[in-house]
Order: sequence, then structure tokens, then C-alpha cells
Amino acid sequence: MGVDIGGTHTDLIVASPTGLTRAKAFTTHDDYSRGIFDAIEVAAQSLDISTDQLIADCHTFINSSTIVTNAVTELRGAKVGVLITRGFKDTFRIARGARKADYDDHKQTTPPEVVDRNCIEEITERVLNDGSAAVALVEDDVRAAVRRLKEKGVEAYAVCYLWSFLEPAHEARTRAIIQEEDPGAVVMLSSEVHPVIRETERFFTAVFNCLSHRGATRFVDQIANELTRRGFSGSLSFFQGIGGSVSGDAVKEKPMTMLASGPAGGVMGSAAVAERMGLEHVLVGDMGGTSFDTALLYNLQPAIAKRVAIGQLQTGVDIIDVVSVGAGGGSLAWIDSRGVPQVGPQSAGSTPGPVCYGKGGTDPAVTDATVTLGLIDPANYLKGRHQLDVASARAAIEAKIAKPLSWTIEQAAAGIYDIAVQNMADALRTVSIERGYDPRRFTFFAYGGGLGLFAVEVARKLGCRTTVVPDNCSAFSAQGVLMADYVRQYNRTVNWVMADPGQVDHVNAVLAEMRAEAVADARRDGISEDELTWSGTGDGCFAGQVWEITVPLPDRTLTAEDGAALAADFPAIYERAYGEGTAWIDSPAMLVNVSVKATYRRAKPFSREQEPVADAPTPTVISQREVFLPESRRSETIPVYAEGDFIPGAIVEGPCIIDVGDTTVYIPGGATCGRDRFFNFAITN
Amino acid sequence: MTTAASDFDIIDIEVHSKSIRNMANEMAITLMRTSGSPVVTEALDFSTCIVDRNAEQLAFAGFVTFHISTAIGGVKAVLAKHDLADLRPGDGFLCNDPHTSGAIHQGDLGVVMPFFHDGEVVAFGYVNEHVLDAGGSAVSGFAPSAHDNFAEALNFNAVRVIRDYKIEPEWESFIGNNVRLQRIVLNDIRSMIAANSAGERRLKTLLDDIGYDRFVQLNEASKDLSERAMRDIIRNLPDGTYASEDWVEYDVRGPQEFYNVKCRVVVDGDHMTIQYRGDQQTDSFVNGAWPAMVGQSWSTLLSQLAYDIPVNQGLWRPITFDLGPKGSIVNSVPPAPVTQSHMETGMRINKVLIDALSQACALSEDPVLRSRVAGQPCQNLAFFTSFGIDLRNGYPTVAFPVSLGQPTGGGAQTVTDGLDTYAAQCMCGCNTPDVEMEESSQPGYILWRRVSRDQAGAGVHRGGMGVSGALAVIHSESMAGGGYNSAAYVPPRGAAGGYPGGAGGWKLFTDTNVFELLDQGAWPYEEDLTGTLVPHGAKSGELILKRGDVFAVVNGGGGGVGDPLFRDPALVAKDVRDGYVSQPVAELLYGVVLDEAQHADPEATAAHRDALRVERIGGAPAKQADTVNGDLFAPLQAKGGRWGCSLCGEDLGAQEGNWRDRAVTRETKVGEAFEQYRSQVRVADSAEPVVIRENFCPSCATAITVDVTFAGRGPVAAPKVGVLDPFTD
Repeated sequence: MGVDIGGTHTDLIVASPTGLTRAKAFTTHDDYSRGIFDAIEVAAQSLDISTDQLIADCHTFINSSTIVTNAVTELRGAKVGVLITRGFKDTFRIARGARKADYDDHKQTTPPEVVDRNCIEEITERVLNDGSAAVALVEDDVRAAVRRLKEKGVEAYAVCYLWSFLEPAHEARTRAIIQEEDPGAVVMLSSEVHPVIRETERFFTAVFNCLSHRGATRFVDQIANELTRRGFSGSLSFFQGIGGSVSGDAVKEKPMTMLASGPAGGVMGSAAVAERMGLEHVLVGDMGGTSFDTALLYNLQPAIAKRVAIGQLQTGVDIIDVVSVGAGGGSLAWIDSRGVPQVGPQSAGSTPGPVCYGKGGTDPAVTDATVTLGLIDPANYLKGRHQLDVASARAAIEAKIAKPLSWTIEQAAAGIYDIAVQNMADALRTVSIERGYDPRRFTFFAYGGGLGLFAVEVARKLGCRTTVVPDNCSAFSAQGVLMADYVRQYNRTVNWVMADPGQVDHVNAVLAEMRAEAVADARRDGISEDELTWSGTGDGCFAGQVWEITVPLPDRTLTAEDGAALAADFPAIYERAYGEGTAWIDSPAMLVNVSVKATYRRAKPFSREQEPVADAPTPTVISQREVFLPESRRSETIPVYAEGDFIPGAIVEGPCIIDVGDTTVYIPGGATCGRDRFFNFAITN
Repeated sequence: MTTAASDFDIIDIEVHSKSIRNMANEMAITLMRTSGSPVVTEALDFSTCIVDRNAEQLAFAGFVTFHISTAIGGVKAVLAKHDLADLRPGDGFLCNDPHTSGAIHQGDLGVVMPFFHDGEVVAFGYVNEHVLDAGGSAVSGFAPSAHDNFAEALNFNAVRVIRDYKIEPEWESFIGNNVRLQRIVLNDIRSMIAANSAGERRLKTLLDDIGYDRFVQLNEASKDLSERAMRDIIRNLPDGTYASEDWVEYDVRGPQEFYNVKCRVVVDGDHMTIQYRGDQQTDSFVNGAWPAMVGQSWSTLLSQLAYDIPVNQGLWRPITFDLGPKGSIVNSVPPAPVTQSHMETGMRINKVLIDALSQACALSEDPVLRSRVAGQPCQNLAFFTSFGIDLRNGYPTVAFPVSLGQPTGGGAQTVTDGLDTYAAQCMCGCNTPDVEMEESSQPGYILWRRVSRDQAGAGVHRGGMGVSGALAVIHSESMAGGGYNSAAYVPPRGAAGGYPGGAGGWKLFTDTNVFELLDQGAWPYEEDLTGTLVPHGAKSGELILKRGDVFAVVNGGGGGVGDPLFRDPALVAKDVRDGYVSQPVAELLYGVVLDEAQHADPEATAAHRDALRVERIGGAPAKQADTVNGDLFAPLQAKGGRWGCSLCGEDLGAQEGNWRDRAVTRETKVGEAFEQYRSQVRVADSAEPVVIRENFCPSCATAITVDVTFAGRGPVAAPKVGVLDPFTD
């Protein structure tokens, strides 16, 4: 079973020998296990077995959730106390300079207070940038500070010392003192949660792990206890923002590992489906109610966003690089000061939602435009669960967009459609072109309720030749967590000048330490060393540069020759990203950080499969619908095909619509859509 | 507006303008990822721009907003020397001379490259960054002692140094031989080529798709749209003339010199003329030139008014910049030295323009514009640059600890307190580098770093606070260079009754006990540090930092907005508890009295605020301020030809006159005032003193405006509503 707990809904996917079964329930924020069991009950009914039977038969249970994301973005969680190197109490307030890259002076606001200022204690100690301790830890300072913090009701302690990633002894000793003074308290050492240079990221990572610890622990325990009580004896694991899942204990140790785990599930699901389809490079798009999320898979590996920021606050947490823009179904259309229509980032969300929902929305949203264009059947939205009010949608578009611009209602709706497409394409450019990848080499993978209406046009903007709308596309995140592997990643700063043979031993020692750590962690999660596969990467740059690009490391004990080869290859890797003639001269190539990733490949769940039939019959036309085609700005009557008898091997030509029940796929003119053996729609743009 | 915009589908125009902006963004990202200069990667002191064949701007991805002018200046300089036919793909021109090639100062090196498509020049790419050195006496681009621009640095007047996307070997050798950090500077030029190439590649793809003619048509249409939006803003400001003045400081050679800079903003319908006038140009690096004057004007215009309009040439059309006769400090000509053009006269331009625009915004009928009244940011970056040998590796090194001098406080806004780490207004998005990054790249240890107490200008919203810190030189025997402080004597003003912020400043200690303490296993904390204070002015051209010396900075804050007696007492109490405002200042400037637990005592506070009002106007106020119907951020109103207090309705005289004549004015020498505010300012001993003039409503005792001027000068000018009164020389 795979579960994705979102802000509103808890989605469940059960993979059984009969295929995939989906279930949905409301998220229960006071005790998440209730919502999960509600969903399990729904699934059990669909499968026609008892809930207890379903739980007892389940051997793998994987969970993704927004709980950590919510805690850190809303700064809700445990009361945190900080012990920090004396002289640097304001590090959290300075936050590496909170000036935003926004011209508007009204947006230049002080960063939020993550820790009460009176819970930040300065400690006399100082390590230097060669790792030597210039000033010994004053233990009495620590003891007195902890007593004061305990008095103030601090539940979790973040220990934040400069250069601690080079010499962690002061932080470790501080933890011992905290444990003496406040036994059982949660302690996060910056040198353990993120042993990497740049204190702002290291310190915030420690603080955020403290902040989210209580909620994450409660969450893990509730689910574990409740599942056990109901007879579950399989393996329970939790999805990470970097993809892959880990044990509940690992989550409790570093709760931030669950940051952004929901979107990561969808991306990893795409990777699994794409692998089965034989694809290599995939751009992923997910359209929800408020946003459009996108990510990139190169050789089926997700691009990683390093050191993500939470608002103005920098962390050292790496997650799958998901770029989000305001182009969801509820994103609002408006006219800017130049008289140009815009879409988002403001959103009507699901309440009141678009005008056509009839729940009080007055500003036209993207869904109102697609309804106005005729792309959605108002009587059969989400299998008829929502009746859509077309007249109100049209009236809102007329009043807010069409009239002010002297356009017809259809032109205005097509305009909103185009801008939504443009915003999505821009987000995809951010994850591809701006990161040095040519989108024309990628397949566009589109899931989420509403994206099928836009996917082909978005793909055309980027020059992608093929669009895939996967089977089961509207509950993809929950499905994705089931398809992903067990993954642990470890990062360390080494500053290795690759051509220098003298440093190789040190780098090997660091890599070996991280590997040993991975083996120990995996063993604790019930996975033995021989089940793990390994990959290593380094963050490379020319000495003097500040940004790094990721390069693969050979999977063996490194030799001086390996170092020389890495150094020799680096300029070419660099120039592939930045252009010919740009490699630095007279400046040695170096790896600032090295990372080790341990993966345990899980068995993939079952899904339906059918040999494509040559000359398969065209699926049934269930209706003819008049649609104002956004690409030609003309009204045309086009066929609507049923998904049910669209068998693998069948092909339809655009312009047409495929009704998939809880989602709709629009095939514009000039595109053709087929269905592959796994029931994915593959569209030639 | 021309007809172009209406000839096209507006959606097509928007899609196009976004794709050009994306190109500029991609150039910026390429530069940021490939540069090795912390000034680029941490302080984001760079920009990228795409300019059309007519030297008109198409898109700008600026972090440093004043480069809006330099891109145009750079391309114009290339076009002045070369026909388009004379340009080849892969050519690149270095532009760093404010007098000839549009640069802000010599340290900001621009690389202009023509973008080709089908064998024709279709546009220009422009990349500009602060390189770590530009040669001459200017260590890292600043030459405090130079008497002329020839003595400052290498001056590239749009020189074709790059061919076939590579630095020409002869030039590579020459530049390498003349800059202090050969390897880093040359590699940074390579990064700028990479950024331009990224833009050219993207533009080629676009033109393959849409063709040159349509590209031009859509560009023109985008410009029209930005122009229309800018005109709408100007139209909503009341017609009239809004004036401000300030003083540029220079004290490197002994005497403290002050140069007057005046600004007039003349709003006429949907057009605005921005005029600057100044004293005669001087023989030091403070002189302004066109790129800095106009570029810094754009920094303010974007931050205060045009923050959401796509930047292109259309923005320029409704605005005329008038720098007056040549040879002044705002319009200097060779051989005027200009290496601090942007940070001296340039940063005063931000201040006078914020002041003048705030006066206009306060009188606007449009609530959005009225909300744009703002305090001045501190703008007094207290930093040094120096050159020496790094003992750790024997290499030459330039010290430029960005995190010490840059994080000065921002001006208070009507919606928020100012930001503590705002830095200069032009430095949009700048970071304050981590201590661990500074200790990696700079030649010493950061001894402490914290938010400066009591430096924020008081107000309903107070200014940002600024950050203090210190660096001990450890890894070099001796380094030489300059120390800088552009606004140490004349502090930043508040607006709408907000108080001035601390100016801030730096100190150099020599013969310290740093190594003695370190040898004992102790740290040189502020309270344990001893040493001899090296005498110097606010700026220094002879800054020698020896091993063990400590450069200590207290950065100043921004000006406040609104009378501080109206600030929420709970916020003041929190600032006291947090250590950001001291208790006596809370009482003196905010009228807030705290109880034992350092929470505001409501009754005592109300009583104390009443007492302060009596003290302000020398008697009991006749009326009470109505903070519900009045506007805390626009206490001065103009109605029916009369000035009035928006908070109590008191008449303040005819609009032809100066309302200050009716106000109760209290003048205090800046040194005395700032001693009470516990705020930092440098007091001149060789000129008339700078004074703070608080102007109170005679009826409700609300602070309407707190002026900063020189003793003996007449009242600060009031706005001339409905009167167009430009400088005519």
C-alpha cells in the first residue's frame, strides 16, 4: 500500500495481484492514522475483503506526507532552544542576508523568527577553518544555558557551532551535557544533520529538524502503533523528499528527510513508469488545484535541488528539484497594469474554487476557461461528482477579462488557456534549459487531474516530441511511493583538488565512513549490506568558484589515477553545461563535497498490461462536442472518445477529446494519440 | 503610445516578452554558476541585459539595478566606434569607463557581445559584474586617493578584447599583467563570455522560430506596454515640483568636504522630469557621471514605483533625466575620478529621489502610491578593500569582506519595518555571506557578527537595523588599500515624521591583543579586545592592515516612517527585550515605558507620550491626533489650496508657502541628537554642523517631517503642488 497524505485528502493505492486499487479519504490532522484507515476501509470494500484481512495481507506500507513541509513552512512545532557560538547569536536573524531578489521594497521584510530570541544562548567555544579549536568549549556555559532553556520550556535543542563539520567534538560534548541536564530531550547537532560548510544552512537544518521532530515522531508512532494493533506485520516506511523511502526511526532522527515527500512520490512514480516504457529522459508535470509542479529525470534519475530554501531561510536539505508555478485549475486570471492578462499566482484553491464550482468564487480561474472553451463536459466533471455552472464561468470571464480587453468570451478563455500553458512551459524551462538540458530530448510526462487538457500544447512549446499521460494519472503520488526504492544519502565536505594524489586517502576515508554509516542505517531498517547498490557523486568546480556541478564518482576505492582522470574530464563536463571556451584556466578542478547514495531496489507493484493489437479498432465516440479550439481560435465540433474501450494499439487523431472519467485529455489538431501496453496514453505532438 | 501594441495579439506580446526575459535570466544564472568572485556569487553584484540594435533595452535580469543604464551606455559606446558590418560573431567589448563606455565605476566590468542570426547582428548581450580588481591604484575598483581618472584603474572604452568567444592572447597578457588577481579576473571575463553565449544560443533558437521582423515588432509592442504602465503611475502623482537636497562627503585628505546635490522631480501629467544639480566636480573618486546618476535613479524608481513592470526601454520614455551643465559633481567630465561614482554621489541620488518621490506619493489620491512613502535606506556601506600576500599559500590576495560592510539597514516602509540586511538600494537580492565563507576567502577571522542596537531610525515602522562585525587580519603580514564610508556625516532621513537612522562607521585597531588572547586559548570578543585606534577619516586611501589588526564595523540603520509616538508599544517592548533597542531610547523616541518584565506599561506609556508632546510644542496640544481617520504615513495634506495636518485637521498655511513656517521646529546638532538616540554618526569639525530639525504640528504635536540639513540653512523646501518649477540652467 502506498499512501500520500495531503492537506485535504489522503490518497491510497493498493497494489495486489489483481492490479491497482485506489481509495480516497479526508485527511485527519489530529490523528493521521484515522484518515489512513478510512482510506484502507474504502479500498477493502472495492477489493471485497475485510479491512483486517487487507492489513494482514499487506507486506509493504509506504507513506508520504506534507506533515514536515507544513511544520516548517508554517513554523509550527516544538519549542526550540539554540546553543550557538558566542558572537553569532543573530545568525538566524541575518539569515545570510534576507534581501529578496525582488525590486519591490515592500517585499523586503525581516525573516520570520524560527526560534524565540530569548531561547538562543551563546556558548564560549571556537573552532577555526583548519578544524583546530582556538577556544575550548566552556562546559559551565553550556550547563547554565541548558538550565535556563529547560526553565523556558524548550523541548528540543539545536547545537550550532561554527566549523563544527570539521571538528564536531564541541557539539558532541554539548549533547552529552544537555542529556545530563535534560534527560530525554531531543538534541540535533548541526555537524550531524548537515556536516557541510556554510553555517546558515547547517544551523537552520538543525533548527528545522528540532522544530518538526515532535510532529514527525507522533506521526510515525501513530501509524506504526495503529498498524501493528490492527495486525500489520510487514515493513513500514516513509518517503523522503529526495526520493526513496526510509524507516520510521530514520525519520525521527532527521525529520527533515520527509520535506516535500509528496511531490517526490509522483516524480519517482514517473521514473518507474518511464523505465518500463523504455524512456530515458523525462520532463514531469503535475497540475493540481493551486499549482503546477514540474521536475526533470535525466537517464531516469531525478534532478536534485541542493540546499533548498524555505521562504527566506536556507537549509542544507536536498530534495528532488520540483519547480512550482501558479498554474493550477484554481489559479486566477487577472489583468495587470499594462493591460495584459495574467494567470496566478493567486488561486481560488478548492474553496471557493473556480466560478463554475458554484461555491462562491467570483474571479475567473483556469478551469473556468477550459469549461468555457468546451473542453470539459460540465455534466460529467470528476465522474459527475461536481456539476459545473458554465453560465457563471462565462459571465465571470466576460466581466473580468473579455470586456476590459474588447474580446469575445471565447477569445478571452483561449487567452487564459494560452497564458496558463506559457506559465507551465516557463516552469519546465526552469528545470531543463536553465539547468543545462535541452527539452527537445525529453518526453513530457503529464499527470494530475487537469493537465491532460494542456499537456500537448505545453510539450509543443518546449519542442518535446512525445507526451505521455500515464494510466491512473490522478493519484500518481501515492502510486509513486510504491514504485520507488529504499534510498539513503550522505554528504560531506572534502575540498579535494582531484589532481592532488595526496588527498585521495582522506577522500576514501570519508567515503568509507559514509558507506559504513549507510550500512548501519540500512541494517537497522532490516536491509543487509549485500542488498544495497551504491552510487557516489561529487560537487565539482574550479578552485575559486562558488557553485558546483555534480559529477559521478567511480564505485570503488579511489586511486590517484581516478583523481587525475576526474580532473582531466572536468573541463569537458563543465563546458557541456556552460559552452565551449568557458572552462577556467590555471585553476585546478576540485570536488567540494562528496555524496554517497545507497539504494535497495524494491519489487515493483503490479499494474495492468496488454499486448497492443495491430489495427485495433478506434474507440467509441461517445459524443460530438463543440469546442473553441485554443490553438486555432476557431469553433469546431470534435469527437469525444471513451477511455474504456481504448485498447492498447488503438490510435486517434486530434482534434479530439478522451474522457478518462476523473480526468480529460485534449488532443489538439495535428497530434495523434495511441495507447501502449501499460495503458498509458502516448501522444505524438 | 505607438500603434504597435494594438497590431498584435496581446498574449503573443506577453509570451514574447517573457521569453526574452528568460534569456536574460539564463545569462544571469550562467554567470552566477561560473563566477569565482564572491562579489558576484554572494553579493550578487552583477546583471545581464539584452539590448536591441538601436541600443534600446529589451530585457534585464538585474540584481544590481543601476546596471539598467550601463547596458545602454555600453552598447552605445560600441556603436559609436563600429558599424554593424564591422562586427563578427564572438566579438566582445570591454566597457568599464564611466566617462566613455557607460560603466558605473571601473570595478564593474561590462562585456558587450553582438548576437548574430543568419549572419546579421540582431541584438546585443550585456553582462556586467564587479571584478575583484581593475588595476591602477583602485584596489578592487576603488581609488580613494586618486586625483584623476587616469590614476584610478584601467579604463576600457568599449575595447574589442574578445574575438571568437575567447580573450585575445595579447589582451589576455596585458590585462593579466595589470590587475592584482590575474587568474580570477581573467576567468571571470570567461564567465561573462559564457553568459553572453548562453543568451545568444537562446536568441538564435527564438529567431529560427519567429524570424527577425516579428522579433522586432513584438519587441516594440512590449516596450509600448511597459511605457503605458509607467505613464499610468506618473499620471497618478499630483502635478507639481518635489525637491530634495543632500551632501556628498570626502575627508581622505584631511579637511572634511561636503558637496551639495540637489534634486527636483517635476511631474507633468504622465511625464516626469528628474533633475540633478551639484557643486563643481572635484578631484576625488566621489564624482558622479551619467551612468551612475541615471542608473541609481532607476534603482529607486524600480524599488519605489515601477516594481512590477517588465524592464525595457518603454519604461524610459515617460521620464526625462536632466543632469544640468557638464562639470558638476552630478555630471562630471574627464579627468574627474569616478571609482566611487555609484556609491558616493550615486547613493545620494537614491536618497534625494526617495525623499522627493515620497513627498509626491504622500499627496497622491491613489492609495497604492500613497503607501509608497518610505524612509531612506542607510546607504553607508562601511567596508575596506586591500591587497597583500596570503600567508597560507603565498598567492596575492584581495580582501573584500562583503559581509562586514554590506548589511546596512533598509528604509522603513508603510507596510513593514525596514530590513536589517538590506544593503544598498541598488543591490537587489544580495546575500550576506556566511562567516565560514568569509573565513575561507578573506585573510582572517570574523570575531563577531550581530545586529546593531539602536541604529534604526524610529517611526511607526522603524528602519532596518544594520549588522555589526569585526575581522581580525591573520593570514597576511600586511595589506594595503582603502576604507570606505559614503554617508558617515549626513545620516539617512525618515519620512512622514519618522526619525533618521544611524549612519554607522568603521574603526581600525592596531597593536591589538588578538594573538595574545589566541595564545591563551581565548577569543578576542568585543569586550576583551584591546588595541590602538588608528586615526582616519570616514574614508581612507592609506588603509594599512597588519597581522593582528582588527577592522570593526557598526553598520547603520534606515530611516523610520511615521511619528514613533504612534508605534505599537508592544513592538517597541519586544525590540527592547530582543536587545535591538535600548530602554532609554524606547522612552525618549517612542515614549514607551516598560514594566519589570520589559513589557509595555500602557498607562505609563500613554502618560509619557503626552508629556513628550507637551515638550515638543512647549505646551499642551490643542487637539488630539485622530489616528483612525488621519494618515500616519501622510501627516501632511494639501487640500483646497491649503496645507494641513491630516491627523488633527490643523491649517498649516497656503500651499504657495512653506508649511514649516507654521510648524513648531526643534533644531538639534546631529552629534547631540544622536548621542541621545545612542546612534552612530560622525561629526564634522571643519564645517557648519549637520542638524536634525523636527517639525511638529502646532496643534497635535505630531512629527510631520524630521529634516536633516546643515545649521544656518533656511527651511527645507516644501512641495510645489500644481507648479512646474524645473531648474532652467
